[in-house]
Amino acid sequence: MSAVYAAVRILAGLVFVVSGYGKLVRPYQNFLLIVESYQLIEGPMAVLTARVLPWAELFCGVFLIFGLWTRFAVRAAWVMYTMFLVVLAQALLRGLNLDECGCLGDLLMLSPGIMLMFDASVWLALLGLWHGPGRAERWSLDGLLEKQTEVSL
Amino acid sequence: MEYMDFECPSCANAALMLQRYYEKFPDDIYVELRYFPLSGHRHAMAAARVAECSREQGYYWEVVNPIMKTQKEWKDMAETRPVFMKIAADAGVDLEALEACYKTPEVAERIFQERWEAKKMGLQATPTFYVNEEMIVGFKAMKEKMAELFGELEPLPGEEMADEEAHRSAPAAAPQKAAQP
Repeated sequence: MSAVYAAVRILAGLVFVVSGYGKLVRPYQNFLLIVESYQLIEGPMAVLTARVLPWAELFCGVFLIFGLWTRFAVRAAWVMYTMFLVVLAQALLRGLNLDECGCLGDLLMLSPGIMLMFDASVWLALLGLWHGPGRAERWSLDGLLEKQTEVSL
Repeated sequence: MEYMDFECPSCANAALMLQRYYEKFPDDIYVELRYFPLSGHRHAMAAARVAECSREQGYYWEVVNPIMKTQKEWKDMAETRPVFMKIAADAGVDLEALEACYKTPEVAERIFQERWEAKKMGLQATPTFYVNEEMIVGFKAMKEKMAELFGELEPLPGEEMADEEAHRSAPAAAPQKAAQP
């Protein structure tokens, strides 16, 4: 069972790394368009989000993949996904046309409904990890460091 | 410089807005269009080819502007080439030469070259602008930038404040000055 938890942790980490990296290798203005299309924040706050969020995703993903500070990384990832879900759900409930403020091209690969289901799946997986992060420490640096500490004692 | 897609509603809004600014500040605005037809837009490439072939005959904005202005009318059609050809004919383009040009692979290659260059620069969405080297993505952001540089535009007759739909149906002004890549 711990192998399943570890696999979920690594998969969730990969999702974060791919998502963050994909945004970071291109000008931040592309992601800014997406942020503003949800019509929740604008101006400097939107710019800050567009600049910081991809880095947060990338770091969180790396920590999840390597299993370092797993408890913290899982909780941070879960908080982020809760935020994504709320933002996306409010957009769907308000009937926002997410493509209205620009033709998003490669930016919006999935329809908002599919994206909501995908985000909900990752959110549930992270919730599972939250309640059993100890079990997710297989194949992790946390697990390795803990073992070394035990030996030195 | 604007990277645009003929089928993108925000690009049409931006074109109309830029025309109006150009009319007001003809000596301060210089617009250069680049093609970035999105793969999900089935008519964007045909429109770009007609525009590019019209440019070869010296009619660019005379064709580009009406294509953008009538976007709502043709974007849901199954076949749009006759529509674009009629727009070109109305502008004075020689249709025989246009047809011959349309079929040449070089025209499509030029358009794809611009699209490829845009992708290499990290562009993903349309419209994307470079205003004095600052990258701006989306109609709303560009509208704010233009307002910052030149002041707000007066609402058009019947235009509701901050309503993008109103921009889409608004009448367009005269063609603007531009250089083609």
